[in-house]
Amino acid sequence: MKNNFKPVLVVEDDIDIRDTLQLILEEDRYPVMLAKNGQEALQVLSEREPPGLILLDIQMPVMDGKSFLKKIREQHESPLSKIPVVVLTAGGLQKIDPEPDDYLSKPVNIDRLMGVIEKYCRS
Amino acid sequence: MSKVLAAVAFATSTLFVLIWLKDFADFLDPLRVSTRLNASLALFVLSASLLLQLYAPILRRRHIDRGAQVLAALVFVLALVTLAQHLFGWHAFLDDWLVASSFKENYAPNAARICLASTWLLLASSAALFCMPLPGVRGFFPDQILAIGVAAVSLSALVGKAYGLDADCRIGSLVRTSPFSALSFLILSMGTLLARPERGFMPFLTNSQIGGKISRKLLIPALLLPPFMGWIEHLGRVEGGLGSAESEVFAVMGYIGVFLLLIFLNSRMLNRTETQRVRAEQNLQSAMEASAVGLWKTDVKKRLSVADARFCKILGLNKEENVERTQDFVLRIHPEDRDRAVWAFEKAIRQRCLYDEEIRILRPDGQIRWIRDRGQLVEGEAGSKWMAGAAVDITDLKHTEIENAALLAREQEAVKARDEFLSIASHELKTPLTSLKLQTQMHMRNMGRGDPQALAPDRMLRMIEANDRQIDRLTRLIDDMLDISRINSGKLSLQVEIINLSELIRDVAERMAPQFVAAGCELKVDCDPALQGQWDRFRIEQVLMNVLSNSIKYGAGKPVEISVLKKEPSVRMRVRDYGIGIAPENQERIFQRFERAGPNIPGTGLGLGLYIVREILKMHRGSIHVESQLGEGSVFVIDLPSKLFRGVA
Repeated sequence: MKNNFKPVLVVEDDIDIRDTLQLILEEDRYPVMLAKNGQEALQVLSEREPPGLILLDIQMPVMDGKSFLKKIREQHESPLSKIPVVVLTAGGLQKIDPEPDDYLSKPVNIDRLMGVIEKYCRS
Repeated sequence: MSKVLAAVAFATSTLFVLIWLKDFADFLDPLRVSTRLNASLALFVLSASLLLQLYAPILRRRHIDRGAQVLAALVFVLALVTLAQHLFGWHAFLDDWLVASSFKENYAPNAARICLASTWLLLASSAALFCMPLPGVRGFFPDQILAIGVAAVSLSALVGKAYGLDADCRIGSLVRTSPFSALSFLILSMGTLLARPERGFMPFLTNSQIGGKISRKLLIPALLLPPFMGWIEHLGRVEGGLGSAESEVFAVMGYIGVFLLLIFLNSRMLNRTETQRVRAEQNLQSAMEASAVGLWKTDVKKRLSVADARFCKILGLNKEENVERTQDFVLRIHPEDRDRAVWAFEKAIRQRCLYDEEIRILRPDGQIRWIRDRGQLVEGEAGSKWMAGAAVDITDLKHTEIENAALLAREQEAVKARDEFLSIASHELKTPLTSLKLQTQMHMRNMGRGDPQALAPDRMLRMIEANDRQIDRLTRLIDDMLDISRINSGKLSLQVEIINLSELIRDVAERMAPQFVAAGCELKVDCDPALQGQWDRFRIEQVLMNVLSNSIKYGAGKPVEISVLKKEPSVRMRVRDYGIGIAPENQERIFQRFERAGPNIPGTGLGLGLYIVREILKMHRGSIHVESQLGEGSVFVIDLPSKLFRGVA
């Protein structure tokens, strides 16, 4: 299992999607971190090594994806603001500010998903 | 008019000059024009000056005025020189210059020299023309005064000539000028007066009001009739051989007749105008009557307000006129509009601007009318100040406006709700879809890679269970959306049968048992097993399931209780949970479409559950409400009539 793949942080409120994403990523030997909402994700980021990519759902309770994205991008000095963010959207192509690095629209195509993750987490 | 006069003066004086210069003796002698050469020249120059001044305002060249003034000044100098000659007995080369040789014998010496009377008239006329471009002093214009003087003197010379006072237009020793000179001066002075009809006292004659009309109509008889009467009197005395007393009686009778005629003309004209005015006022009155415009005025100093009959009608008073103190009138305005109206009213007085407000009037019978009220300050004589204005009843208009605004708000609300629904629906539908797709794709990938674990039974079971959950979730969402669509289009129909309520509750409890177990909730039911009613089984189950799944969702880990009471002619079902509870301000909101009790808890459905519940109960002529306090759980109280239709057992 030793490789230098960077971990992926999955921020998603739906337990089934979260678990499935975890399974898929771990099968491809990416380390995975999980969070149920933006608040939890901030907690995870503050406690653990920075991930290579954040997979972010938008509609979530407590702190939604937009607020989370804004929060980490505002911390200009912190390395957190440089972490690539890929947003999972359900409601068509709504503009998100600040701009994430990429969009994946639900239902997610697994090949596109793995392509994006490869791009950011294998160096 | 004045241009015609100036042109005539110009032409005649040119003619005289030509006669003097060119020796048209045959033409001249019988006429005995006797306007001297210099006078003819002067008149020529003056009429040219007048013509220039007439065209100056049209051409808008300042130097044209200057040129005309120079011409007038030249004539003035000539007249001064001639005057000096007359006074001091000088001779100058001007006296017989340019004169055609044949006249020299007849008129020599001084054939060209202007006579004394004409000299005075020339002085005045040239001064008048010189002054024409200058501004007036306190509404008086010297050119007009001088021209009137010239006109009077020349007219008197002409009248004198007509009565045969003197062959050379003499009145006693005063005026001695030739009739043609007198006529020329008269024409020139009239032209001068009419050249600027808009200033000085000319407007009294030229304005378009009744005074101007009457003056214009009476001016001609006033100028022509007295000389005519004088001429008749003169004829009577000189030709008819009447004595002076008889001719005076004749003249007096004539004057009386003339005055009566003038008075008659005058009064007829005034009457006609008055009739027109009264008719116009009647038209205005009937127009106002039709438009329901109420008139008012307020004495600003005495603070008294007067309302006319129509305004009284708007105010709800059955009066022809209403006079009251302004502070009392203000009380008729709706309290909410009072300050605004008074403030605008006082501002209009202070700043002399328009007062224009839409305010409500409180009628004595309590009815409220909207009016549009407009007014303005009117300052009368002796410093009196009035605010005068008009009020129109716009109640109907206002109601339409308010209705339209409400309609628009409802419409916007509906559009917003629809957008929200679309956003929620797409999220809620795509979440289970995403999960399904990820699962299936993952397995396809593993199989494609030849992973020996890909088809392991435990993995397959896990996938199938997860997929089944997602499919159930999708089914529920789609059912909810279909129900909403049926409710909205009125197509939700009931299949009524006789149902045992206690059995129904038991069925539902069994079906939902896994959910209760998963949430750690214990269900307690207290229901008379004999309770029956005429209901739609499927729909009442739906009601119960929706309410119970709410209780589980917000009261996980705590017991849920159902108790049923018979309350003829209905049954009352209470579903109690010990969950987070619902704040009072949300207790009505949760029954509306797309609303959820939690601030924003996704994954909890479309927010349609309780809306559908209420609609189903409405169709059963029942109702639902909630009793709750934050942190102390909620009780959903369902009232359901046992018999849907009266008279059916």
